Amino acid sequence: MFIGIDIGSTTAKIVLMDSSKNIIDKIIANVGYSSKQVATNIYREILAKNNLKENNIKNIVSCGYGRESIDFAKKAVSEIICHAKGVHFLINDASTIIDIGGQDSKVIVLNSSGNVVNFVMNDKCAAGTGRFLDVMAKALMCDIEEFGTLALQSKKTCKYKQYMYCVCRI
Amino acid sequence: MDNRIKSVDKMKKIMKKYYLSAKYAKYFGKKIAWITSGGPVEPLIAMGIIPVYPENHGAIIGASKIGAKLSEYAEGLGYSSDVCSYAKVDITSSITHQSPIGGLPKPDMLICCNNICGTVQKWYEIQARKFNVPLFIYDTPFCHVDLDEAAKKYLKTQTKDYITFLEQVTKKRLNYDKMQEVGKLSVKAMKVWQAVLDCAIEKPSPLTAFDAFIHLALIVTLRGKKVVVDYYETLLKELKERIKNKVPAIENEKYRLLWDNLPIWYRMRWLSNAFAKHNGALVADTYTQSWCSVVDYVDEDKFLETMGEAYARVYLNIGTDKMAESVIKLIDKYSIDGVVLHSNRSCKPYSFGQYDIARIIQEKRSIPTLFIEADMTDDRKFSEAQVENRINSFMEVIAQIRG
Repeated sequence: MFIGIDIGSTTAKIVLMDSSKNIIDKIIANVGYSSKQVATNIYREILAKNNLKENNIKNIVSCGYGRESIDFAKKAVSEIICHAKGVHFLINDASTIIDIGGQDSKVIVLNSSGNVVNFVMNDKCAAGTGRFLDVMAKALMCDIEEFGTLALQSKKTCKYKQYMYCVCRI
Repeated sequence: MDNRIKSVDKMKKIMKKYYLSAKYAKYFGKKIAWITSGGPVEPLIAMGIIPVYPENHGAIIGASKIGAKLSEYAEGLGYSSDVCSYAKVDITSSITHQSPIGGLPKPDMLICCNNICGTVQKWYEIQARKFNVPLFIYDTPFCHVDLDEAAKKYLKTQTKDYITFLEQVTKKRLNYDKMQEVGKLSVKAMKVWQAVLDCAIEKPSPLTAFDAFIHLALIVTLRGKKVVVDYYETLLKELKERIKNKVPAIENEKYRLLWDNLPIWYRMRWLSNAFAKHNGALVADTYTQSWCSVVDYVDEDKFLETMGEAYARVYLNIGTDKMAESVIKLIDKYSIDGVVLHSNRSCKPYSFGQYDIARIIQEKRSIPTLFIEADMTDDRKFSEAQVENRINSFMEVIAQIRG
C-alpha cells in the first residue's frame, strides 16, 4: 500500500493506493491552523478505515505548502510534479493542468510522457488564488460550485470597469 | 572548503578609496558628476571629474536591507509605490542622508543617459532642481532591430554636445590624448570583464552570477581607469587558478542556470543557497553582461566617435526579439539547463517582455523557465514562502528533465 498526502493552504488531501495502482480510499479535510495536526489526523483515519497499520504502508510522499511539516512522509515533492504524475495517471493525454489553489494558481504544461515541461504561477496578488474565489462566493452568498455559472449568466457589462486598472487593494 | 573568491577584499579597498575620494572631492579641487549606470562615463574620467552612481548606491542600500524603509519615506512624499526603488531610495537618501555610507556627495552636475529607462530622466530632473545643478541628458534612440544612419549621426551629435557641456561646466578643455587613453582602458576593462564572466563556461564554474553582481561595481563606476583593468586581471588569474584546481563556486554543481534582470540585493545569499540545495548554480546572467556585450561596437582608436552607438545598443535599449537572441546566445555559451527570470517591480524595461522571452526560450531551446516576482531593493515585494516553493518545483522539473 502507498499513500500520497497533499497539505495545501486550505485543504488536506490523502490518497491510499495499492501496488496495482488502484485508488483504495481518499479523504479531504480542512487544514485549519495546524497542517501537521490535520496530516496526522487524516493519516490515522485512512489507516483505521481500511484496517491498516503503519507498517503496511510501503511509501508515503507529501506535497503542498505543508509538505515539509509532515514528519511521517518519506519524501516531500512539490505539488507541481505530483499534479503532473496524478493527472497523467488519470488522463494520460492531458497536456495542460490549471490548478486554482488556496495560496496560488498554477498552469503546468506536460509532454506526452506526462513530464513537466514548464509551469507558471500567479503573482503575489490574492485575486489570483482560490481563496479569493472562496471569499467572494461567501460574500455573494452562493456556493463556489455555482460561482462560475452565475458569472457567465450576466448580460450586463461591469459598470466599474473604469476602475479595473487600479492597484490591487486586497 | 572555503570557496570565497579572495580578490574581493582588494576590490572592497578600491571601492572604499573611491567613495572617500568622492566624499572629499572638493578638498582636492575636483568636481562630482552623478551619472546613470549605463551612461558614458569615459569623458568624465578623461576630464578628471569624479563620477558617482546613485544606482550603485541604491544597490548598497538594498544589500543593507534598508531599501523598503527608504522607499516608504519617498512614498510618503507622494512618489507612487510603483516608481523604481533606486529612484526612491536616492531621493530619500539625498534628503535624510540615510545610507550605509552616509549618503552621496553633493553633485556639481548630473549626467543622465536614457539607454536604461525613461525613469532616469524624470529622476535626474528632480535631483537637478533639488541641487540646482546643470543636467545633461545623453539621449539614445531605441534600437528595435538596428540603428539607422540618422540615429548614428544623432548619437555623434549627442557626444559632441556632451563634451561641450562638460567643458562649459568645468571651464576646461577636453584633452583628446587623455580621452583616447581612457577610451582604450575602458575597452580593455570590458574585454577583461568578459574574460572574467567567461570563466563560467567551465564545468564546474569557478564563479556564480552572485559573484559577478558583487564584482560588477568596478566596471560600472570606474570604467576607463587603469585600476579597473588591473583588478579584473588579478581576479581573472584567481579564477583561472580555481579552474585549474577544480574549485567550484557551488559544491556538486549539476544544473547550470541563467539569471535575468537585476539582482535581488537583499536576498543574494538566501537565493544562492536555495538553488545550491538542489545542486543548481547560477553561472551567468544578462545583467553583468551589459557592461561588455557591446564592446565590439567600440573602436578604441576612435572612441568618442563610436561610443554613442555602443551605448545605444545596451541590453535594455534593444527590442524584445534582440533581447531574446542575446539570452539564447548566453544559454548556448554557458550550457544552461534553466533560466530564472526576476520580474522586477522596479525595472519596467527589464521586466516588460520577459514572458515573451520565456516563450522564445521554450520554443528555441526547450528548457524550463522560472519567474520570481520581487524588487531589487524593496523587500516588501518579496514573498519567501512563494519564491522557495517555486524554486523547489523548478529544480525538481530540471532534475526530471536532465536526470
